[in-house]
Amino acid sequence: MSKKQFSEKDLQRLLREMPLIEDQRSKDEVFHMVKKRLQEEMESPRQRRRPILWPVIASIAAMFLIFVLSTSLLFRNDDLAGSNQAELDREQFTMEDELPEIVLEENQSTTQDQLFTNEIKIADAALRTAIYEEDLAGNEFTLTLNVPDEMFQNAIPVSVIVQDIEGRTWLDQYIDVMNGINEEELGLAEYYPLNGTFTLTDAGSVSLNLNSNHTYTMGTAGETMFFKSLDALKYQGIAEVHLFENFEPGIQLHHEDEKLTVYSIRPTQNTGYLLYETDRQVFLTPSPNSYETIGESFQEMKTGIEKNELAPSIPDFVDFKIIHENPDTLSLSFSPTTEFPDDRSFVYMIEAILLTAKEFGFQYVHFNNIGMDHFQDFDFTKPVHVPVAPNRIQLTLQ
Amino acid sequence: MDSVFEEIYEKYHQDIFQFLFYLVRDRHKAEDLTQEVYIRVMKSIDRFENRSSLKTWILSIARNVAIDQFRKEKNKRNIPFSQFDWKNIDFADHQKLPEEIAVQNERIRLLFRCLKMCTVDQQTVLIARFIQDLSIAETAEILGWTESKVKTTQHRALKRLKKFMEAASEKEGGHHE
Repeated sequence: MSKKQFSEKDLQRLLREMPLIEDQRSKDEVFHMVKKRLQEEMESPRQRRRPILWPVIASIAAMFLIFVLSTSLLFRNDDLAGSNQAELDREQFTMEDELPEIVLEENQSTTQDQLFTNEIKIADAALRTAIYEEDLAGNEFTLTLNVPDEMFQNAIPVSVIVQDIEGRTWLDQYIDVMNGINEEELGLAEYYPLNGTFTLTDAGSVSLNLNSNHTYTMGTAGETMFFKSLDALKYQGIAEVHLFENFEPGIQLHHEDEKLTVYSIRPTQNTGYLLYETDRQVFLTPSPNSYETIGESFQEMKTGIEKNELAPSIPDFVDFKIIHENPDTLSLSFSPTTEFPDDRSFVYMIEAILLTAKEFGFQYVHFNNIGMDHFQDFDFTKPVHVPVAPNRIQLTLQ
Repeated sequence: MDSVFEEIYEKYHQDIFQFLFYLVRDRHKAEDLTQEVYIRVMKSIDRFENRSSLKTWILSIARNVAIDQFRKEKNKRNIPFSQFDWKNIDFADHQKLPEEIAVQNERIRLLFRCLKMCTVDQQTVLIARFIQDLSIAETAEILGWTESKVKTTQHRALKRLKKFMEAASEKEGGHHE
């Protein structure tokens, strides 16, 4: 076959020519299998309520980590395998310097694309990925959405800077962002806008009326992601979402008997930040696990979570310890002999630590003995303010 | 036999099965997942309340069942677009194809392979729109999206499919010349 050009019409025609695939089993056979599985489910006690299961898993994990911490693995001074690991991590963390030609081609939007999509460019001039107070002019603020990755395993917070517009609330602009975001450009799953209508109720809460054809509560993955998408409202200071389904109070969850009428959002979720890589960029992404102490989260940030495709954000060879915690400031001290990764990975590490500190309620992190006074826009001579929001993206709303 | 089962089987069984087959690309998996769809439908049919159409409601459950399955399979993640090795793209026939596809002509086999290069959402839209012959509105109901989102995704999916189809035909052309 020589090189062929395919028009969209050709492809549509070809797709329609795909063979009809039929289940060759008989109705009785299928019914028998379904009945058998239903019976098996009824006979074996099922974990109906995840909210009961998760704390148990979290406690076991926490106990295990406390044990690990008590054996001082976390802040060890000896670092025998350090340099080899450094090489590995350098390779792992410097892959996004060049994008192959095909991506550039992809970014040359066609006319039709421009009709549908908004231009999103990654803020890449500086290495910092989050949004900091000093990035915001007086009339600017941030809006953050949690966007699922393609496998619906992680909810990745992405943030935009918007300006106050007279006569428009933050929620109006939030809805604009939900309508305008192009998740595929980011290498994430198509998810927004949500299939429903948000309204402001009072300070600190919003209501969400889901349309009758929504599909958020039909499966475990979808339901978990729906609530994670609401969790992003914490960045806007929202603590509660009043839920409606076709104007009736409450939504019926997959595995619950009672309807849920109010979803409460925790302002801090005690999670570490790790690295999730798409084909376009690396996102600092919260762990699915919450921990009692920030030390436990730091440990997880060094190991990564393979199951969720979350890479470590703190290279294993970086040696530091927590020297002081007060309600506002977390103080870390780096070992004089510790090595640091390349610039980009170094910034990911600093930002991951700052975002994690924010999730544990800290305002500042003091990086002691880090071997430099300044790096990029970080001033390490004094406590560094935690970011306003993670993973800045640029979104031009049309 | 359960009346709910019977009604769904008569009206939608082959639709469910075909939709899942093209999503998971394997007859046996599609068989298992079809059963799971029945179980979820039978458990929640009382919540249906004529939301959308019964068919799109069931297919949206099928989509969720497939997504749950993908999550279970660790290595099911799509190949990152930027890291794709275009020079050594492997479309040779030794890749295992389901029997139903393997017996088809070259273009159909190629299309089936290239379909996999699209994201899961893009594949869902292409399967719903062109293989299952559903409307934009029906596809939007299955995905819980707006119609404009379906149109955008369809456009991007076809664009991506085109790139892979052309790259593959060039590569195979190179082999023969």
